[in-house]
Amino acid sequence: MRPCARAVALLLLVLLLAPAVTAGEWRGAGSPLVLVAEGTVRGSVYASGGHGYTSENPYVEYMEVPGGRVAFGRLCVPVWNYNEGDTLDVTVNGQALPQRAGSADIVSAWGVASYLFDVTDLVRPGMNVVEARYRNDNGAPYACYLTAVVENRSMPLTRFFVYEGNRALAPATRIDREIVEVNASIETAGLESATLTTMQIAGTAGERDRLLFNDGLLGEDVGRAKDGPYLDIDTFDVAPFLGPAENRIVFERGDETYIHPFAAALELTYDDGAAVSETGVSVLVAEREQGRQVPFAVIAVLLLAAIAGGYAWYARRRSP
Amino acid sequence: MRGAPAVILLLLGLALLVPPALAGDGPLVLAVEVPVKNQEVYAADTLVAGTAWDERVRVTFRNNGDVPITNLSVAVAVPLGMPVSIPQQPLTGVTADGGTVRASVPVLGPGESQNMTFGVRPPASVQYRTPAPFVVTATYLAEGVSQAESVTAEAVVVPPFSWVTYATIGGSLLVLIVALLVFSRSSMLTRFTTSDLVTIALIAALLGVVFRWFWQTFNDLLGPFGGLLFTVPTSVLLILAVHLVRKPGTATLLFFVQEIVAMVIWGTNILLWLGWYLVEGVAIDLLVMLLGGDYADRRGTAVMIGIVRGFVSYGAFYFLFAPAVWHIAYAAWYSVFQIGLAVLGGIIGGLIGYSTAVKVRGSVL
Repeated sequence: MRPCARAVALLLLVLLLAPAVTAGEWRGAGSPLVLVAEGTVRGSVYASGGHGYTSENPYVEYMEVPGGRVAFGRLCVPVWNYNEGDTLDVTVNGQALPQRAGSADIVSAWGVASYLFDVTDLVRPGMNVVEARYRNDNGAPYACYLTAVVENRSMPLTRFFVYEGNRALAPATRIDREIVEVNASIETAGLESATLTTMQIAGTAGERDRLLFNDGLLGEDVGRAKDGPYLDIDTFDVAPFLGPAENRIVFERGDETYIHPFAAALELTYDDGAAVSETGVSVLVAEREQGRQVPFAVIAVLLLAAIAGGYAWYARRRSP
Repeated sequence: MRGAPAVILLLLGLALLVPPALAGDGPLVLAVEVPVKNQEVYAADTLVAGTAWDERVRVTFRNNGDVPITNLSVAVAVPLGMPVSIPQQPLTGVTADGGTVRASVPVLGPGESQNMTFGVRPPASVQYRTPAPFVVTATYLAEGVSQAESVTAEAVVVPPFSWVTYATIGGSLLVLIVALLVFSRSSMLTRFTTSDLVTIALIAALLGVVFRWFWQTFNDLLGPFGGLLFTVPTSVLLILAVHLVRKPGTATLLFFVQEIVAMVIWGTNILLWLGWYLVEGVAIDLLVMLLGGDYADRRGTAVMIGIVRGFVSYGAFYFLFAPAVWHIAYAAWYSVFQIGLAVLGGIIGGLIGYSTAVKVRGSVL
């Protein structure tokens, strides 16, 4: 074999084997949004936090949590360009969470990752400060997004469903829609309000995605980076569309090149006469898909290149 | 005089450490950050028109004196009538009214500092680079004496250059057409054969699929030099295409097909980025024609093609397309560093590409 052909073959071999021996690659479609907490309490749900991708280090976010007792606190730190060698150090109100070294909870696409933390014991009513320090040469957090359930006897009866995930809706994943099924029967008598809060990453203004609750259109071009670069946090009144069963939240990619639904929280409040009883908070262990694959297109092109290279080499050997 | 360069470098270094806007003859020191972003990457004091989000502004007030400051009242005049939002922050009582953001601090102890943060929405569009000074004034009492301090952050709003994307497409095509007309009388212009098109398609697929995946996946391996993982292979494959196909328009066609492939596989927005893909191809085709039909036939020409590709491609991205498409103004030094890296990648790619092309020349499909 000529040196040139050897070099080409070596390059192709390295390309094919590289994913197997080193960290970081195309991570596939990520994981769907799954239920992580539900229940009925007297109180409210707080879901917010983040000002987009700014490359600040540390990334600092202040959050004003309503008064009461924090019964559930979940912090999501979405980051760009995740690799296994990265470290993420997070403090909540000055208290350090265990360092996360190369262990994001969900990773998708080119390294859009979610780090998830139980912060129930660290979040307090009133002003909270979260600081995230991410060690990565070409990446940074998009947000520090907190979902907290606060019990307060003076507040209305509140039923809630908290979903989290990281689904890459993109042509490359061939997934255009993320459907979150609310698998519960809903008492609609005595309902005072029904509010849906969502957090999405990587939406682009002008590329029209859609968000629906059942058949009700909540918005078009919802993902348009209005809460900071690549970040959208939205709240919708879904009471007109709420049914007693088979409710669902639908994220549609539409024209978006990429969009990642990350979180959804459904909060239903009732008047005192409603036939809804307090159950407290149930925290569920979520099973997640971990994508890690070489895209089919990459393999196909490499194979084609190898065939073409082989043919050219063969033709050259046969030519006088 | 031998120490002069070192002194100049030291002064330059110190100058870089100075915050964009500072004031403080009295005990109070004011500093303004516009926008609140990592200013090693993003341009300081620069807002891009047309963002869908509010850019954050942070005003820090610090007591550098030995006695407490009391009754501190800070007001920021927001320029250009930009709408203001107030995010959650530790300092209470930050308000916005009529284009002025206000905050007050009852007592600021010696050595103590606080800050206020607010968001501003840049105008949807501006015709030219427009000054947008944020004027901060503060009044306070120090040892019972009323004092005032003021500082201005000389920010600017730059247009998003949305017309640039379309003008680049038109300009690129125009240049290509003119060049083809100019050279139409020479023997340079011949039609692409089927094997030419297959070669271009294959190389474009390698660029648009394999090496894009390779770069985005492994860019962290080289840290800040991660861009080389794309610029080197791109230059190598560009040289291969130009050298093997040997026809004017090869580079333009190559990058155009690369974009089509990227659109199909990764969902790249073809209209927004068409100009960027075309401009680098046209630049290379023009260079080849100006060189009298030297299709990377010499090592120096191959390196020159790599350099021009790196310079044009990354220059267009950082100075035109990043503000236009992403509404991001990168810091000048960061942009220059990335362009330099692309040129370096072009040199390395040109050298490797030439060696490879010469050896592969006899093996074209």
